[in-house]
Amino acid sequence: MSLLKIEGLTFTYAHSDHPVLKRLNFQLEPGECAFVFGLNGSGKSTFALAAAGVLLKVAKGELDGRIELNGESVFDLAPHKLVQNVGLVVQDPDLQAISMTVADEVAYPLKNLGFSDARAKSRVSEVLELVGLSGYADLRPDRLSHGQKQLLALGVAVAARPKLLVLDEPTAYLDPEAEQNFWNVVQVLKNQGTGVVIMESWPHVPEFADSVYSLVDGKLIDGIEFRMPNPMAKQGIRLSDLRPVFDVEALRFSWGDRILLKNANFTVPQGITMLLGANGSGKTTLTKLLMGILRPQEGVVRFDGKPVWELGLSVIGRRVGYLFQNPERQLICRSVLDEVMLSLRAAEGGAVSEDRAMELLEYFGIQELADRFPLSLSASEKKRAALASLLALDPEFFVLDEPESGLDPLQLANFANMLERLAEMEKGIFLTTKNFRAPSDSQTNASAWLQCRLSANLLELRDGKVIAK
Amino acid sequence: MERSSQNERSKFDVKTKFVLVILGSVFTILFTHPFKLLILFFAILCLLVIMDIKAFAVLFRFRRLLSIFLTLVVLQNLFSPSGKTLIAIAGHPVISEGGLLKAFSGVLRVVNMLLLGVMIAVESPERITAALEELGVPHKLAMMVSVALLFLSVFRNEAMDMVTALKLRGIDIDSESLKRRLMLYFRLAFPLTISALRKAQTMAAIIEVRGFGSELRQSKFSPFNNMKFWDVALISVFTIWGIAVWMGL
Repeated sequence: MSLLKIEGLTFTYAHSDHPVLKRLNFQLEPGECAFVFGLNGSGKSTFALAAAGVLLKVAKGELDGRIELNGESVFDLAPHKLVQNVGLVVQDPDLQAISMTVADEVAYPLKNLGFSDARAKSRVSEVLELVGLSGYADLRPDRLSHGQKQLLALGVAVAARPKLLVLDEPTAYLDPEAEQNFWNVVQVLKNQGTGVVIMESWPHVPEFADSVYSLVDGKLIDGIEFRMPNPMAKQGIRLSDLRPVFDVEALRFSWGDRILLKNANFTVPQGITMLLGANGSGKTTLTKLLMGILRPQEGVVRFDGKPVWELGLSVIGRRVGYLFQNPERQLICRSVLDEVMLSLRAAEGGAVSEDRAMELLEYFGIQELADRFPLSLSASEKKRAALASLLALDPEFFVLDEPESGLDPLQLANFANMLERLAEMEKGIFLTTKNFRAPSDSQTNASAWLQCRLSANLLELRDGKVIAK
Repeated sequence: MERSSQNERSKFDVKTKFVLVILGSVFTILFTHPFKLLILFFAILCLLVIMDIKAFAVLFRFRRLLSIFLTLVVLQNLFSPSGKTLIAIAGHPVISEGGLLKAFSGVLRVVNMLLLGVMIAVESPERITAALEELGVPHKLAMMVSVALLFLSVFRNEAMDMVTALKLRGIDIDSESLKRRLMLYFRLAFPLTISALRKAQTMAAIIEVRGFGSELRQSKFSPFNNMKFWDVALISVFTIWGIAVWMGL
């Protein structure tokens, strides 16, 4: 009997006319690992929620077909049976912790199964050892790095020894080292007989995967036919040739006892500069310090010779466009057109021309989305809408915090084109990105691909210092 | 609000806090005289200090609500003037003695309620869930309340980021007029709500696959809620004190 058997699965969301999954068939045996590649919007998360048996509990829609776990319909499983059969890890590490300590988090499903305190404690220790978090039992989950948070989520998912593990883009926010740690644990679980289904938007197949599929147009097909366009390497511009725009001097910043920057000294020139750093190295903090959103404990950040926090956010914001890692947090209007109009009004004051706003949308290829609600757009479209609203302020420089996050290969290629167009307009760009092993990883790694594509000047944030690469 | 970690758990049972919050809320409604409300305010501050909550730091944070409090004072005076008129425009009393006292009482009521809420807000979701269950609230409902509280910090961070993003778009929200500021905040409310709903959906999926609602559930989240002598003493003293003040003894 198959561990997981899906037959003719069709699902249509309540607000849509088109099914996101179309008569999908899938089978997984115990101890088997299936890798499913799919671009954003292909239905990976819907598939993951369906396989985990919770789709109908968290989303409204029409479902046809059968999903069986060990021969039993997954939708008929009582909560205590579900937790013993399926473990789920999703993309966002920050949304998975609901407890105040790492140990309590792992204990949550066990308590729901009626484990005594002693039994729960013993199993929690085993799980924490498995995921390498033994020393963190009493720590608050939000104090962990992204990589550790995902390992914790994995630990919680397998605490009740489920037979099936469903992983929905679990490594999207992880650097290569954290990603490898995560896969190592998954491999151990697989070797112990756990069936694993992995959904990813990049074709980076772990070595231990037994079968590989692509989710295309709501259906599963064998293998991955997708090929990432080769990045066109261009001649890089030497750092020394360009005028420094940001000047960072003796910068020190810490969150509590966690020191992120210690005596960091560097300059950011005009042109494109890429800052590499591991998860939790302080990249986002550094971009916020550059923008004056955070104030350093020591040292100074100068933009065009002036300390940024003396300029004020509304002044620096007009000269430097800041793209958040999650652009949803900067899209605040009811329509994409309104987003750009809001910025134009702030920049020019009084009545502004809708034509000018449409021109900007056209520039980013999203003019057809003018009336759409920004939060309903895809990851790439959201980033483009945010950039259009920033460009409306006509800044001379852009600071982009991990712009590759959440983008699939095609979206990344589009986004890179846009960045080049900004550079052609002589806008300076400073962008942060996760570490990567080597540029040759560009077929499977977004950061590596972006580096090859943009041929930017490279800096690295390591141990609180920024060094030229 | 910085929540306490497992190692820093407060010495009082969360049930005690819930009882104190209910009592404090009842007194806040029952007390009509501003002086009594002021005494209640100091009593709640004392409770916070006893519970190792940085009461004055919390009060300092309330400065952001100053404009709302001032609006309350103005509205109270305009629409419910009484007693001696202190300032009048075109014969209409703008500030009156009675209006000021009522406004003062109104503001104190809001502040007292917020301070009482802080008692619970510093607790962990597990302690809150366990306490609610011990007070007879069904597990599902108790879990919903505690996850909602946990969600507040996510919601607050997003709201702060959105305000920052607004400022970075050249809109200096702090120097805008009150009307425009309110309009801008209102504008933020919509995407914030949508984003929160989406996150809630993900969280719901996560909690579902962790066995939420299991009938096998026997054990509490952690065996940390246990009323002791000081819990009972605190509730008793506060109850007797409140009734005495209410009756004017």
